[in-house]
Amino acid sequence: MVKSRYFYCLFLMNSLINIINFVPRELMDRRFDGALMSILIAVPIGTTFVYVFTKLMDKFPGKGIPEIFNSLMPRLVSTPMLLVYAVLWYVAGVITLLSFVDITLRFISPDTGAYPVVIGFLILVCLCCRVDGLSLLYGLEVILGITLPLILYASVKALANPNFSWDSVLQIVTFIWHKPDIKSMAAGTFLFSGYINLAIFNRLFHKIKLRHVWLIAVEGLLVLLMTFLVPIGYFGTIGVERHVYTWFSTADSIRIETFLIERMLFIFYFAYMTLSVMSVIVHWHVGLELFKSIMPFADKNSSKAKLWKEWIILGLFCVATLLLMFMDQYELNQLAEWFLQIRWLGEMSMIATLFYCVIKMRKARRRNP
Amino acid sequence: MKKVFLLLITILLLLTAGCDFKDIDRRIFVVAMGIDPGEKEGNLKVSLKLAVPQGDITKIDEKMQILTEESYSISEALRMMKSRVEKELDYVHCKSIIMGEKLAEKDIRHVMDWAVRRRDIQLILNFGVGRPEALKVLNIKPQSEHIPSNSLIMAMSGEGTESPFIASVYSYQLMKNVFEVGIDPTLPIIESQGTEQFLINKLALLDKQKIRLILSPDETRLFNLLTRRELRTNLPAHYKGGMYQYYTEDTSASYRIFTPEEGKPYIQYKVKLLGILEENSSQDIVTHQVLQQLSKAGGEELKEGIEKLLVKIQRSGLDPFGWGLRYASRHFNNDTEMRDWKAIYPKLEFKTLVDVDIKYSGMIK
Repeated sequence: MVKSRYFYCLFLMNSLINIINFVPRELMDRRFDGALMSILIAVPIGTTFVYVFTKLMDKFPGKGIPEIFNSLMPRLVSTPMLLVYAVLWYVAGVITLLSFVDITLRFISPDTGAYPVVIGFLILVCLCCRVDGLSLLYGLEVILGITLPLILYASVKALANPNFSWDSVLQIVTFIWHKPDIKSMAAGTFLFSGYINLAIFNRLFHKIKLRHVWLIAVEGLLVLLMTFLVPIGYFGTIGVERHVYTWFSTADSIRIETFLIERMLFIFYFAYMTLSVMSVIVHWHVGLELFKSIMPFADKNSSKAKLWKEWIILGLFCVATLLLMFMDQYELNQLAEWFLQIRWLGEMSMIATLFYCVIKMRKARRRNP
Repeated sequence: MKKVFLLLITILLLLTAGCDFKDIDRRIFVVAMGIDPGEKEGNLKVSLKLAVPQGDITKIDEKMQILTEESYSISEALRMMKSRVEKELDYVHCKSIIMGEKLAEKDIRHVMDWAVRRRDIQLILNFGVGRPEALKVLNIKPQSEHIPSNSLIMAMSGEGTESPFIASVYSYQLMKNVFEVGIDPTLPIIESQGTEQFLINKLALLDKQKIRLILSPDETRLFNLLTRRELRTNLPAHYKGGMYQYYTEDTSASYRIFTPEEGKPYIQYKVKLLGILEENSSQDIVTHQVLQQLSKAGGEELKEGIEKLLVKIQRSGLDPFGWGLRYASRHFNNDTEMRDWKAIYPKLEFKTLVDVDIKYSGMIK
């Protein structure tokens, strides 16, 4: 059984990856219209979700969402629900992937075509997301161990810059008394939604000891504030909306005086490349497991059939990704915005359904103890 | 299954050669750019300073090339230049963009937009104004320089010389200040003196669009003193007919805007300097008391200079220090604060508290 700290890894991964998933964009667009208040509200909401969901999943030790839903609800209800969730998880991965392909093309290798880059990423992700969950968690831990110091370094360096305009940041802070905005809240809660991967990874956990919930809230708040305010310190309250890749431009503005390379961009890119590939792998792993659970011939258990099943699903994933490549920067942004809102609804409905399942299970136990 | 994958990966690896990757010997690096107004009205004259990559650094001999092309747009001029060199032009190492003074007197926003929009041009690139024109600045090749344009990069980044007269500006800062309400951009002026020397000791203050005021070297130094920490410079102090100079080991400056209910609004600057005596024109021995008197005299002189500069800037209507932004960031009435500020700004008075502390008399008394 896996230690509880891997749960924190899943949480941390999502909270750091928000930069790639257009969360800063959402917040920036509403910086004068209640983004800061939304952040302050998103933190307790997100933390509550984390707490409630883990408590609920604790009632089903060693079971994933498919097993719980299929055993406690009629197939006719559980199958479409699982399908929706599977698609959501797939979209979560695909947005990270496409966004990152975009960033790679802009900043690192403008001369390479888009398709070689995306195919390279797809091969890596598809090969890795078939790996069993336990290995993925171990891998995630190692990758966080590598990237976290780099990200911390970049953050410290960003704030220590004498050219960082604290006045611009404070100017945005004075816009705090504005009524919160639902879209920004949806974006803000994305940082906390790493817990939802427990839907599949709960198969590995038996008893999650959720200690220091306040730590989750504090970390979430700090990362959200960094995400939102640091680019403003670099590009000003007005200029910031003109930057498309807000955080990568910010990293590009940080100069390292005493190192082999002068530009923070490359360190930042390396850290986020590893982290975002890992996050796509985790999301698609969950998506894959969910799809597998609703495939009609799920009963056939020969290893060959299993293998084929997985590759058919992954093949579909890849084809859909390649088809989604037609989107331009604004369309991808739009898709990400929709995703951020729909996934919030999805989380709520999953928690509600789990509540229902817990009640039903208790009733069943009482009837035949 | 595994074999299929291996094969697939091998094929993909082979494909990478088909990407448009060019080796370093097929590239030529642009290290600096100059943009001047063209001969024809509305045209731009774009000049590139190219560094030719060389193998052996021990036998290095500065090789550079300058290309100039006139066109109605920057991109067009650059594309036209592509057919004048045999290698691919690479902009990732471009560290400075110099705008001709004539151009900067008209509009800088076009060039700035281009430089920030291009994906392969860094955001930590120094902007400057070239006097009399950008091309002349690019042509400078100091004797002490081994790598093309290195002298300019070193001077602007503060890695080499730590001149108190250089106020360099990165492109992301320029863009921030052009759009931000309540702060105005500045640009350093780079003057060419013949083909072997440049001089960077003046600062151009811009409104959101063009140069409005140029600060003298002395004013530029005071500007730097007020905006930076730990400015390394010397400052004068006159005492009993003798001229003294002290070197600043540590400086810091901060300000607050006061808007009292009664009386005029004012900005209070607090400047703190820690000095060491560097020069003494009189032959007197510097005693403890003299040192204290010098601190006082130096402080008075500095105070006068700073207040003159602040009033000069206020008269011009510009806001290079970002006072407006500071005012807005301390007030919560977001809809009206900028209107308030517009009314306050012309009425502002300045109070300066200068605290010069010359601690040491140097190696001799």
